[in-house]
Amino acid sequence: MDTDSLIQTMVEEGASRPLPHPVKQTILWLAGTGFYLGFMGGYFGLRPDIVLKIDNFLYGLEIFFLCCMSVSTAMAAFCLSRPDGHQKPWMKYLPFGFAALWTVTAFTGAMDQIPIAEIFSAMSIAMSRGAFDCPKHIALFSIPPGLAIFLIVRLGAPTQYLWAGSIATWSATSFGYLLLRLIEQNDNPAHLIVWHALPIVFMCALGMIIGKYALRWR
Amino acid sequence: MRLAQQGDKKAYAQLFQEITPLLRAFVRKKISRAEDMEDIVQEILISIHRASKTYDTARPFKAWMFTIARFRLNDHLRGLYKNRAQGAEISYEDADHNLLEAAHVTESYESREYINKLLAHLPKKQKKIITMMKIEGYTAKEIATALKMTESAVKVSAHRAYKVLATRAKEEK
Repeated sequence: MDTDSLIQTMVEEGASRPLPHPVKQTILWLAGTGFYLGFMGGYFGLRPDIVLKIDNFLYGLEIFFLCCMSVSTAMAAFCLSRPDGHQKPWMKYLPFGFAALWTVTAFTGAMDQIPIAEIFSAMSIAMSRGAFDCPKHIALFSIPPGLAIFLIVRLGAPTQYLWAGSIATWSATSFGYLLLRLIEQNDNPAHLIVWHALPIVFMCALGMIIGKYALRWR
Repeated sequence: MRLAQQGDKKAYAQLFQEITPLLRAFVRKKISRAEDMEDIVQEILISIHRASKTYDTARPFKAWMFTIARFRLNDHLRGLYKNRAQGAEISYEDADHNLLEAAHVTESYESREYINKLLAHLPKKQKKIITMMKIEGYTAKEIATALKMTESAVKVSAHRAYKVLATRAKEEK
């Protein structure tokens, strides 16, 4: 088929109607995720000391930065569903900024529990305890929103599919982490690193691989 | 593109007419073979058509278009380098292309003697492979088993034979 005939065929088909703006997609996804997490939070029940914890400035700040990280990752994932990343190349790096702020806040809050010098030994103790329930819960909280975000991203044409896969997973799992922080009454930093943060890193790597196969625009 | 997204087909056609030369110039910088170049330009045009829903009219069009063009071009080059890295000296498209050329030659002359004459220029093994593949109808896998070769070696050998045949046919013309 020569190029002119191809153009003629495509013109007859016509251009597709534009997808909703990434901000709109983010709001819709956040609404669905919020509803699901609200239901799960109601089912499992929030931690008994939640009122006291919310009064703690550092805990509140940690939750705030977690929210910022989750929302910015969702926004970045929807931007990455466009071939040109919605012409906002900085968007995919924004969650790293919030992640850094969240890490600093979480570490500062944890310093009164375990001295920094003992964190590695505490981590090896935490690892030996085998708290597999935590990553399982994170996965439970993250899988439905994760599936939804993957499906929405797939509607677009992601050319940076590895980024899109990992960022979409990061968004879903960070909401899972957030909910678990509100449910589980365990603030041990070693436990949080080993059984909450590291599984998320692992899941993001997995999301990258899934992105390669599920999101690749062909 | 804004008009095209609203269903204006004239605007859509005009858009394609205007961007095609730009895309040709873009692809020409990386691809020298004319037929490959046109194939890639067509692939890019199809991609732009399929991705038209992702274009935000508030953003510059060319940046969006060239991102797609770069992606498709890199995809093509990646495939090319992968084939080379795997040791395949030919691509299937090349093989088909040469085969079609050879078929065209045979159709135009319609002479078995002519084919035999051409085949006589081939080394014994290549002649055997082409005879089995194109006259007797064996698959590359079956030939590989019969001649105790690997399947890819059969395909490479066949491709070399097509090249010789095409050259000879052109000379004879």
